[in-house]
Amino acid sequence: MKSPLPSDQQIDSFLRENPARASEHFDSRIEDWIDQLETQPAASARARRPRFRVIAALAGGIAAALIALLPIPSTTDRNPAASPALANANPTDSTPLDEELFALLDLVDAVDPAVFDEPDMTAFLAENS
Amino acid sequence: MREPKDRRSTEMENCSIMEWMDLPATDQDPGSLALLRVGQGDLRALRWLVDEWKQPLIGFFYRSTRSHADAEELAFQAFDKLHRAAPRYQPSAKFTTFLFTIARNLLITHHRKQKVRPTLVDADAAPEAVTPRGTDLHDWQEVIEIALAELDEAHRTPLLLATREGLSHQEIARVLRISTSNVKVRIHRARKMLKTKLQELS
Repeated sequence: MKSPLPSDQQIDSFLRENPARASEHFDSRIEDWIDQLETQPAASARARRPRFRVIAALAGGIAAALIALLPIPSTTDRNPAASPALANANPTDSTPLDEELFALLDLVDAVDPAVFDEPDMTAFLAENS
Repeated sequence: MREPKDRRSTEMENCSIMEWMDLPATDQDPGSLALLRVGQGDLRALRWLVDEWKQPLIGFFYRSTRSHADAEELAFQAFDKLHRAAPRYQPSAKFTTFLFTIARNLLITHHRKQKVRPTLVDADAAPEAVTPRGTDLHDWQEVIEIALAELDEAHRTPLLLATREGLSHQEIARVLRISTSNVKVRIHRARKMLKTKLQELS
């Protein structure tokens, strides 16, 4: 036979009971922790916060300096005439990448321009009609 | 030089924080008062808070985890968080509300970790039958504990905070960040779910 279910009041009184007491291990751990806080006041959160702010400010400054040093392309880079520095630049100052690009351009220039001409379709149709 | 632990404990058990710390009697919540002093670096107040709240916290965590080791670990973490939060503490609500908000957040994180790292159990094994031995409430204890642990956190926590800790519906609403009417609904549902689970388990 099934036993009757406990009432709400019985369940509540059961829940109010203390199911677990703090063990000696817990108490000694708490004691050690508070002892540590007493002997190391500098390690408290308040003491750590200003140091964190200084570190964060330094990191921010270094990041800003690095960004300022990065070569960011501007409109003057795309239009050399707009930049006196680039307009007067020595052509011999080219990089290996520039050399490759110039070599390709020379190759294109060397090809007979007639190769690129459109075939005369009128003559072709007249011949084959 | 620190006082011996036994003497400190006896002193704390026999008087309120105001008497113990030679403070003038006020209407202010003793927990809030103690936490404000912890924020000013007073470790005697921290010791008082731990002594006053370790049992309720361990009990709350034990009812939710059914593990004594987990309950003590979570209680320790709660006190650590409380100490770290003390310098920024504003006594806008009762201390209990503040403490159990921390406790509940820790519990949610704990449950998430448990889901990620499931315990090694045989999924095919039949659940262990738990039968109350008689009609006495004492015989139901294990069954109620299992049924309670099987409730979802959203229902179990408001029931525990209301019955165990005696928090008002308004205070529970602040801990759970829900409306007061929602708290009432959750407690009502939790009781119904608990009864259904008790029927299933018995």
